[in-house]
Amino acid sequence: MTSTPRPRSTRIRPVEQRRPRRTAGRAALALVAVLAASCSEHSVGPARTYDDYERKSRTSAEVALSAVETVRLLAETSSDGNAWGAYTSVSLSEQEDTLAEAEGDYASIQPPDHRSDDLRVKLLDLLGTAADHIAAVRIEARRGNLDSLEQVARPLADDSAALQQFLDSIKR
Amino acid sequence: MSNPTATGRVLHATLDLLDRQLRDRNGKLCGNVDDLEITRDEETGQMFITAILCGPGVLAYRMGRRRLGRWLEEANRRVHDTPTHHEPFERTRIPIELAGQIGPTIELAVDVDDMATHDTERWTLTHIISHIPGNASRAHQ
Amino acid sequence: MKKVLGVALGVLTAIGGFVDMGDLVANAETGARFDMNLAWVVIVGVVGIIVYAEMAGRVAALCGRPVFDLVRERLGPRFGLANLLASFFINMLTLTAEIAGVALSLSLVSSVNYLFLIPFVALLVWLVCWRMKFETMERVFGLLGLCLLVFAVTVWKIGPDWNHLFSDATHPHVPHSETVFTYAYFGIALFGAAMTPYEVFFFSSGAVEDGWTRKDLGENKINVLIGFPLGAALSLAIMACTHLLLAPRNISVDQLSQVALPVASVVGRLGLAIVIIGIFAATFGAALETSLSAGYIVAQYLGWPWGKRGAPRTASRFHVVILMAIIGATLFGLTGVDPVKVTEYSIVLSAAALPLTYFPILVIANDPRYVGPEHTNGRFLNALASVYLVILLLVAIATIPLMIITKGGS
Repeated sequence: MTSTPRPRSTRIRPVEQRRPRRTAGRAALALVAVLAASCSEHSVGPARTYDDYERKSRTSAEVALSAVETVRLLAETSSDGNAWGAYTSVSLSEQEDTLAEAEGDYASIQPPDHRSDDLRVKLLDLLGTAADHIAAVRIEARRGNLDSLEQVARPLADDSAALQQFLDSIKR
Repeated sequence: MSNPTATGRVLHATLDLLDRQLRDRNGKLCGNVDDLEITRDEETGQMFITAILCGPGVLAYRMGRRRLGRWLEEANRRVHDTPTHHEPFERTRIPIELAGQIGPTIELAVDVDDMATHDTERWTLTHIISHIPGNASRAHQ
Repeated sequence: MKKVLGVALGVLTAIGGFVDMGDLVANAETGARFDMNLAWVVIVGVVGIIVYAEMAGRVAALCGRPVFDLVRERLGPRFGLANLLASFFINMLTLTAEIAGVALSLSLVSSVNYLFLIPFVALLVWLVCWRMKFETMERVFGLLGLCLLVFAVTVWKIGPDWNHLFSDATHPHVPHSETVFTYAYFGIALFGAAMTPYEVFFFSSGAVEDGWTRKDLGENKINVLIGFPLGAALSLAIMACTHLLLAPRNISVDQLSQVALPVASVVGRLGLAIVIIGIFAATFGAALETSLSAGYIVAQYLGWPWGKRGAPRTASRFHVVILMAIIGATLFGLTGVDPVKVTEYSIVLSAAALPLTYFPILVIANDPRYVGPEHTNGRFLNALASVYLVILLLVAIATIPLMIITKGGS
């Protein structure tokens, strides 16, 4: 009936390890916090100098160029009969969203000086035009007119060239 | 308690015993050696391993996390819903005499159901797994 | 004859099962941004995983217990706990990425938004873990994964300048548009994708589930020595496809659908169908493996009964962990987090945790108490494995700083 008490006095248990373990735990938490903060990416942070702003413009333009070219390739592939409707429309929507996000992020960055204003106006104009053209392709695709996509995507060639020109003009 | 005799294997506690896999008398997996109970003989001053400790909270205690160990113990108390005649402490303590084969795994002459380490297994079985169809048969082709 | 068939099956399964969401994303992104200048990393990575997978399989076959099971008793509960926590966290990221990958591949054939498909996929993954026989599961998804060979077909059909292709791969340099930091970062990501930790845990526990013994050592070696390099070749085919078709157009890969685009463009509808089946199989198989790995590592650390072999009743906590892991990954995926970003983080963090995973394997494979005196590592193998450990340590140390410097690879 009597319960056997745990023989604490004779149990050998190391005690000193506690302190270093606590600091290790705190260090791990600090590391995660630093990571989370630093890995949230390029666009939406503030730009303090023209060079900074130019860099962010470059990034946004590159994203836009990638989206435009992807849509062109999708349109070509679809018109050649090499992809079905679901694949084409889902992919097109993804690129449209990517461009919209890049546009939105870029627009929300405060340009630091007047030189940056010029850059901003130019790029936002390009992004807006590209977004319209991509939307047209997506609308056509969702309607099921896969064969005519290449035709509808023709303006994107100019958008691509314009973006490429923009990137060349701000080459570092 | 009988006097611990001078005979018996001399083992390196950390290498051969601690953290080893335990199996019960039916070969079922029933936890690891979380800690060892060592008693000192009053007269000769020699130290003998008198029990294997295994169960919720024991490893936490050993690693210095007392609060976590206590919390785990408490949580297990609530989970333990099968009445046995063993007291809580005894269910984490397995006298060393019951340890048979000491090798890659350590075989114990107890039933896994009598060990504290099995309480959560029983709980998840009755409260979760049993309610999912197909739990009683082996996977088929 | 039956033996040859069995071995062939094993090799094919190894090839098809090699690629997962991490490899798809890493190789496709790298091919588009760095051309073939990081191809050497894939080769280095695959040699590493061959060396360590063979060791892990040998340990499992000779002492009937998976490597992770032995970590706690051989290296202590603290190291085992660190390993468990890091591996479990990364596992959850990977599982989220794989489930999302399956959902994405299904959305490309159904037009349904992938977010709606995630719960359905999760249920399917769980059902297979619950009911399908282990060997069947491995075979089906491994063999279906061979559909990814269509990437190789695509490269062949493009008919590239092979000299140019090889010269890039054998004379790597940092492209003008990139910095040495992004080059290193993507190299680490590629490396982490090739040597993913969960693969070794799964491989090792799977060997025990399949009941490997000494007789299977030879087959293990063949599977690993032939299957994995061919799997790596498949990865390089993915890299070549995006390099040849997307890079010239300034397209960077940030969606899974773009990975399939080269195949559609060059091979056509049939190619697209095959590649999507392949992507489905690869990501689904990987989702199964990561779910089971979650159960394996927790149960093995704590000494619980584990395994798919017996009825679920006999290992209820193990199955509950798997269920909770799948649910957790589903919830995380449903927050709308970008699957490609999650994949990137999972492979980069895997790279950071590689020493934790692989160090115990080397120790245990050298311990005669586990593998027997005649099957410990030979001197050459030990030298090679040790060199890799040093590489893994350097990679692990460099990962976090590079992540910060490159702001997550942008």
